[in-house]
Amino acid sequence: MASLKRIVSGAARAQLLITRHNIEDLRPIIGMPLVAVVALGVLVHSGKSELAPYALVAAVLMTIGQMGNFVASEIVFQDRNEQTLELLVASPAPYYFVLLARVLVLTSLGAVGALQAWLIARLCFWLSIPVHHPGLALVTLVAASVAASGTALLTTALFALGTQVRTFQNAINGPLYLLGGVLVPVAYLPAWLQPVSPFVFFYWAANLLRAAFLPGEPEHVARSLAAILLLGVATGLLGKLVLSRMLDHLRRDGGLGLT
Amino acid sequence: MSTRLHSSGWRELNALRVFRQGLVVGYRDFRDFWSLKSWLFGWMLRISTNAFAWVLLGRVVGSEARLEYLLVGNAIATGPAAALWASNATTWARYDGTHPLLVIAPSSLIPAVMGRTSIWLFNGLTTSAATFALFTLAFDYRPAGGGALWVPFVVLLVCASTYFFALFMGALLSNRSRWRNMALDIAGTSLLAFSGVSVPVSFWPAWVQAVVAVLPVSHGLHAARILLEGGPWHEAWRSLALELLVGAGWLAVGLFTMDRLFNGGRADGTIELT
Repeated sequence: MASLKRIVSGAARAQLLITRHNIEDLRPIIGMPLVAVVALGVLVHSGKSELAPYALVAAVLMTIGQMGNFVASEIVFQDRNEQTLELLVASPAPYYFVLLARVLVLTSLGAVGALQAWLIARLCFWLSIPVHHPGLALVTLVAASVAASGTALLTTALFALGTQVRTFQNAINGPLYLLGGVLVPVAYLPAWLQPVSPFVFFYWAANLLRAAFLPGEPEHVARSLAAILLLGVATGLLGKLVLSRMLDHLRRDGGLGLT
Repeated sequence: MSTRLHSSGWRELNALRVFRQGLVVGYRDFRDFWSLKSWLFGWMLRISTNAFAWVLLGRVVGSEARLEYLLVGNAIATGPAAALWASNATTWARYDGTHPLLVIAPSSLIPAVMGRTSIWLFNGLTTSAATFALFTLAFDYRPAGGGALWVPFVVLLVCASTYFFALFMGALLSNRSRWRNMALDIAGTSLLAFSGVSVPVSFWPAWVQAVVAVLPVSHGLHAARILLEGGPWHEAWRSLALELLVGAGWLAVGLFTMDRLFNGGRADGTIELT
């Protein structure tokens, strides 16, 4: 157990060092919160400043989502390209846990988007948006980062398999944000699309985050958090399966080797 | 033969041939990214679902007029957003190692670069047309103006002026290609945030309006809105002329920057593989 802790903390530290020097890793954190400018612009211009939290929720969830789908999902692919995969697989530490720690670091960094979006609202629009349930907001952001990590564990294993899945990487985020009601609550979607939404963790996270900005008592908190975590764990376990099958495949076919 | 070699007519023909060959390379670049299937179910799915959410925001604020504004803005904006990719494509010759070869070739580098990168301009035009068609069906949108027939040409102009701007960006970034994706993200989001796509330009502070006025998209988009709403033609023409002027300006700036950079590279030894 102590050794697992060391592996996880070591991998997390390594990822932070890699990310600090990699502009590509920081793209979503710097670029995505700009979404808040557009969304706040639309809401304020329409005289709906009270809906400003929608813009913040969209900006932060999209930042977390992009960190998962475009940064964390690249880890295995990069490990293969840089031939660190061979070294990691040969070491006694389980690769899955190394990966888990690194993915978690990246998706948690996405939560910084919340601060940026809040500052954009404050400094560009002079809006002070009170967070009525800061505890709920924080717990939801943590849960969303965990769930995004689960998805990223699955996608990082898939994306390393071939170029065809790149299409999937490019395609996946738009539909996930739309179905998850990240910017526009699901109630506004066409009725035939709505039943799919509860299978997307963004749906539960967006509802909880929006509720955190409302003065009233938030509803279904435990159920929503459970749903987010459940979806995260389910995709994470599926990722573990795909990853171990991929590594088995590489070992069997002699696909691993330093040049 | 030698007299033909020095005549300007031959040079023009040569530039056109180089451009065409560049376009073939550009098409191969494009096919590296997308097949028809992946373009439809990867690229278009992402672009249209993203734009769809922005249009629905009009429903959230409870106004059909806002929804229509967002629909037109976001459907057209997918075009310039895609055309801006050309800035990225401009830096690819560095990675391929073809940049030094292009520099030493007797023909100018510019038609080769423009040929290769202009494929993204056509991608922009097609993307915008497809998104528009999709939204017309999804939201049952019917333009009021008879000028709607001219809108595809306006979109072409907007995509072209954005493409010229992208050439300038690409030239600036060619020695700093580490930043190319970040620059594309920020330029794309900012350009679309302030150019009247989702909110009228007049909503933003005066200094933002002044910057937007010399950037591509806003004037052409304004013209497209007038044509779709059946507004006065003279106003549409005025905006179109401004977009054309802005586009021509960025083409000139882009070509000048490229030329300076390539000549500078010859002098200071930065014509190298990145």
